[in-house]
Amino acid sequence: MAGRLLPPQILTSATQKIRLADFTTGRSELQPEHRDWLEQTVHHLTPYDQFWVDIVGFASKLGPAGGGNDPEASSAFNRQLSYDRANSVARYMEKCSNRVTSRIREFSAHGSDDYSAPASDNRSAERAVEVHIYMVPVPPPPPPNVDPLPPLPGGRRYGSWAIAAPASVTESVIPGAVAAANIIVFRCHERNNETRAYICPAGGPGYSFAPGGGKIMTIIKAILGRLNYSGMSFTDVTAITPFNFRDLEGATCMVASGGGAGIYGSQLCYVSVYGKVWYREANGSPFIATKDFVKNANCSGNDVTYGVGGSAVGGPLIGLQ
Amino acid sequence: MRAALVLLVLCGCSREVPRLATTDPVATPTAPVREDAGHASPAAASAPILAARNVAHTTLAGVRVNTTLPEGWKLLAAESDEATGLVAFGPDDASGAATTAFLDGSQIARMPGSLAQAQAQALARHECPGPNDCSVLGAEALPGGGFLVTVRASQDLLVQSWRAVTADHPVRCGFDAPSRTKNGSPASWLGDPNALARVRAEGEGICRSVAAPP
Repeated sequence: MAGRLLPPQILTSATQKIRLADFTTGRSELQPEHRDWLEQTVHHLTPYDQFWVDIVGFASKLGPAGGGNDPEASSAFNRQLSYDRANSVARYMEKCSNRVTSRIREFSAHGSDDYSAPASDNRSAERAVEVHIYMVPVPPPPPPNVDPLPPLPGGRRYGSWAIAAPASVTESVIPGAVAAANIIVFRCHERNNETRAYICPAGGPGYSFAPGGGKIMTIIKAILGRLNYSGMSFTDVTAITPFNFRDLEGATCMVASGGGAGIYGSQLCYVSVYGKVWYREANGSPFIATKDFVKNANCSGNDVTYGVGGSAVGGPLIGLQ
Repeated sequence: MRAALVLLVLCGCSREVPRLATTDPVATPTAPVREDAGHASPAAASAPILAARNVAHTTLAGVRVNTTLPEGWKLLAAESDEATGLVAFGPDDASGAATTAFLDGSQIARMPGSLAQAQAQALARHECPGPNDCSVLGAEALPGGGFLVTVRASQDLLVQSWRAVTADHPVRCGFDAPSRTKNGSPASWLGDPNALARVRAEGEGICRSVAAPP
C-alpha cells in the first residue's frame, strides 16, 4: 500500500521526513506501513546523540458520522482527530526509543483547515501525520506553516550541554559519612557556550583516608587531604529533559566519585541532576514536575589530591555568579 | 482575655478571605493563617484569626480561575505565565525535587471527550511507556463537568483534572508529587499507604477546587 507513505507537504530542511497517510476514516490508529517506517527510522536514529522531531497531524474535511453540516463542529472534530493521530505517532516513536520524548520540538494538530474542498471530502492523503526529523544539535526554526506551541514559563530549555566537575572538598563527619562541596560547571552549547559554575554542598555515605607521618606528609595531608582538583575538563551530555540555567538553581545534584592519589592520580566521577522543570509530554501537553536533567554524566579524569576515598553525596545546586 | 479572643474571632469572620496570588490589583498577597494565630507573632496576630481558605486567583489567557491550595502553598511566580495560560503552584520552599501543581489554560488545553479519553491522556506520559508501568488509582467524572484521574508511577504520583471553567475554555490541572528528595536520597512515601492517601488527597483537593470565581 504505497499510498500510505507519501512525500511531505510541509517544506522543511529535515533529514528524514514523510507524510504517513491513509489513516482509517475517523480513527487515529497507525497503519502497519506507518509502524514499519517509524520503527526503522527511530532505530536508525538511536545511535545519534542530537536530533529534533516535528510531528503535525491532519484530517480530511469529512466531519463526524451523523454530525450534519455544521462546519464548526466538523472543524473541531477534525482538529481533535488530527491531534489524536499525531499523538499516536509520538507515542509509537516514544515506544521505539524513550529518547524521542525530549526531542520533540514541534507538535501540532492542523485538523482539516489547511486545504479547500467540499465538506464531504475524504481523500486519504489528508488523513495523515507528517514527521520531520532534523539531525542537528540545535533545533531549527519552525517551518512557516506549523503553529508554534505556547512557550513554557521560565524561557527556552536546551538539550545540548557539557558538564565539568573541576574541584571538591570532602570531610569525614562520622565513619561512613562525609560532607562535601563539589564545584559543578555547566556549559550550554545552544547559548554560544555560555558557562556557569555552581557549588553543591552535599552529604551522604562515603569514606576517605589520607595517611600521615612526618612533617612534610602532615602538611601535604592538611592541604590536599580534603581537596580534590581535576581541572576544567568538560563532558558533552544530551539532557534527558531539556533545562536552562534558571532551572539549575536549587536543582538536586548527586555526585558519585571515587579514587585516590599521592598528589597526582585519577578519579571516577559521575554527576546526576534533577529538579522541577516545565516540559512537554510527547503529545505536546505542558507539565511541571521533578525530572532528570542529566544522569550519570561521566566527569572522570586525572586529579590532584592526597589519599583515597569514595562517596555518593547529594544536595542543592547554588549558582556562583 | 477570653472575651478579647471571641471579639477577635468575630472580627475575623467579617474579613475577606485572604488572597494568596492574584492579578486583582486591590488584593494583597497574604500568608494563610492558622487557628492558633492568637498565640503567634504580632504580625501574624494582625491577620484574620479564622483558618482561611488559601485561594489563588489567576487569570489564564484572559479567563479568571480560582484554585484552593494547601496551607503554605503559593503561586510560583517565576514558573508562571498567565498570558499564555500556564501557572505553577508549590510549597514556600519549592526548590529541587518538590511537589508542584499547575494549571494549563493555554490554547492547546482540550477537554477529553470521555472518562476513558481522560484516563488515556493521564497515562500518555514518558513515565508510563508500558501497560504495567503506571497504575490508575482513581478516575471519575466531576460534578458539573470534567474529569479527574490519579496515576501512580514508579517515582511519582500525578493527579490531573480537566474542567470547563467557561463554556469554551477548558483548564487542565496537574499535581506532581515526586518520591525523590532534595538531597538525593530515596523517599519511601509511595510505598506507605497512609502517606500515599494523604498526598493523593492533597493533589485531588487542589485539582477538584479549580473553578471560575463565583
